[in-house]
Amino acid sequence: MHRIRIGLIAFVLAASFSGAGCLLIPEIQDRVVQLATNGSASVVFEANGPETASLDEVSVVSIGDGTELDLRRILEDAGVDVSEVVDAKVEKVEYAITRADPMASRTVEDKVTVQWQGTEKDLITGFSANVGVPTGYRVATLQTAGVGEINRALKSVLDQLKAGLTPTESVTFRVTGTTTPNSDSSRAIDFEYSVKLTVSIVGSVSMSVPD
Amino acid sequence: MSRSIACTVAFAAFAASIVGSPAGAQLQDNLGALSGDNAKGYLGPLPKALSGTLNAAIFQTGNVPKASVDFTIGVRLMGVAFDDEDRTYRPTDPPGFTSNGPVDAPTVIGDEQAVAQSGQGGTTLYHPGGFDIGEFAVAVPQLTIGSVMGTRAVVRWISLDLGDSDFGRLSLFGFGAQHSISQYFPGLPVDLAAGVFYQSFRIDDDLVDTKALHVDVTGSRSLGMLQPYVGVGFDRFDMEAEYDDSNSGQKIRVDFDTESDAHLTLGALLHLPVVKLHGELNVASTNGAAIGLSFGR
Repeated sequence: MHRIRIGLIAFVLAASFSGAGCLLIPEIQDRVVQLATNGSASVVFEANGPETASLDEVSVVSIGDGTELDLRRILEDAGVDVSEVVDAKVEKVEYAITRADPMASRTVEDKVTVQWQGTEKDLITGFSANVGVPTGYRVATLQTAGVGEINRALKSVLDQLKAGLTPTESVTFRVTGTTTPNSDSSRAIDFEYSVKLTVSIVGSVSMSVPD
Repeated sequence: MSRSIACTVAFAAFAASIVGSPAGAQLQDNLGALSGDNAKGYLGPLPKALSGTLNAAIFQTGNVPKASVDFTIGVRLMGVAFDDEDRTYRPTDPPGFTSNGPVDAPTVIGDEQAVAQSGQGGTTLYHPGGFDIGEFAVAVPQLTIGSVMGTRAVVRWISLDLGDSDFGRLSLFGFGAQHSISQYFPGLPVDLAAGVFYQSFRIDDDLVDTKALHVDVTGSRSLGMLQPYVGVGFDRFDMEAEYDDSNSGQKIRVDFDTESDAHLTLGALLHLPVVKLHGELNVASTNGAAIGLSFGR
């Protein structure tokens, strides 16, 4: 009996110290971890004039150094060297009514296009919203062509960053459409809405972890 | 780095450090782009692992004298191994993003590569990579002082500011007591004591904030210099995480489900003059091993 007990003790000690070699004495390992972060920029469209006129508003989002969507700053804030950035893509586009029209029942039907190089590409089509009350940001249904256009602009910025340049690219957002009602030329529309672009960014970070 | 250097690092820890989870600034950065639900999934393996380590190696004996002057100071090393299933989680769509289908993304201990999830209209959401960790270990100094009316006090404490390293600031404080049951039942074949221990462990103040409670009954019997012991108890573990959204800058707070687990300990303590050495195996939220070295009587 005594021998069994000693054997049990020996087993426990051996097992735990054996485990200690694996579990309790970590080695410091180098890791290259891909970090994901994001950043946003928004454009504001002011709509005013007679309600019978069609909407045609243009606004520009600048991407790059010193702009609202400053990828270099976003990366640096996340601890990622610009030379280690892997990719940046459009994550989402949202819209909000930031100033309501005086007519609470007014609605807008329009589309949003984007243009970086070449022709305009549809980003949001079949857009319909009540503009008589302010809203928070809402999800927009996106078109692949427009998202691809912005992604190409982002890639251009990243390529320039990696090359040690200080890039600035401009993506033009354009809203066209009509409001309802739209039969009284003496009645003016006056509202403001915002389109927010959010970009998902991934880059590599070297670090040491115990394992 | 060689294992010997790593050992030195770990034991120098007993000056003493706590070698813990991937923490600090880098963890904050990785969480920053995650919604609250996905941060919960990303950090998912931590509660069980922390519960399994923090609640280990607290009591090594059921022998608590009614009255004596005992004082020991030492270090406890506790570790658990992660399962493969802990390495990924299934993210949910954050507000404003509609995915085309589910993906398995790395948890904090998972693969280092980020995972891209495609979404409506050609959008893409990147989920951060993990730190590729297979085991999790904690080293912490522990002090015991006793005993009065069959009661001994136990304290753990460590606070380290690791500055610009990848670990940030780590702090652990624990206190508790063990009370002799044997004193009320003379003639028992083993020494029995009931113990309770509370711990607070933080990474970067509020980035990860945990609270652990361990309650057990420890039975032991001296066989010369050797003393086997068995502990049967219960662990409770609560964890919260708070981080800044990398886009809006707003604080995001995530509450994790409370972990409640039975805890079985099987160990042995070696009494040498002035020095005590112990090893134990733990069956708890996550199974693990622990060793300890103490000086005193």
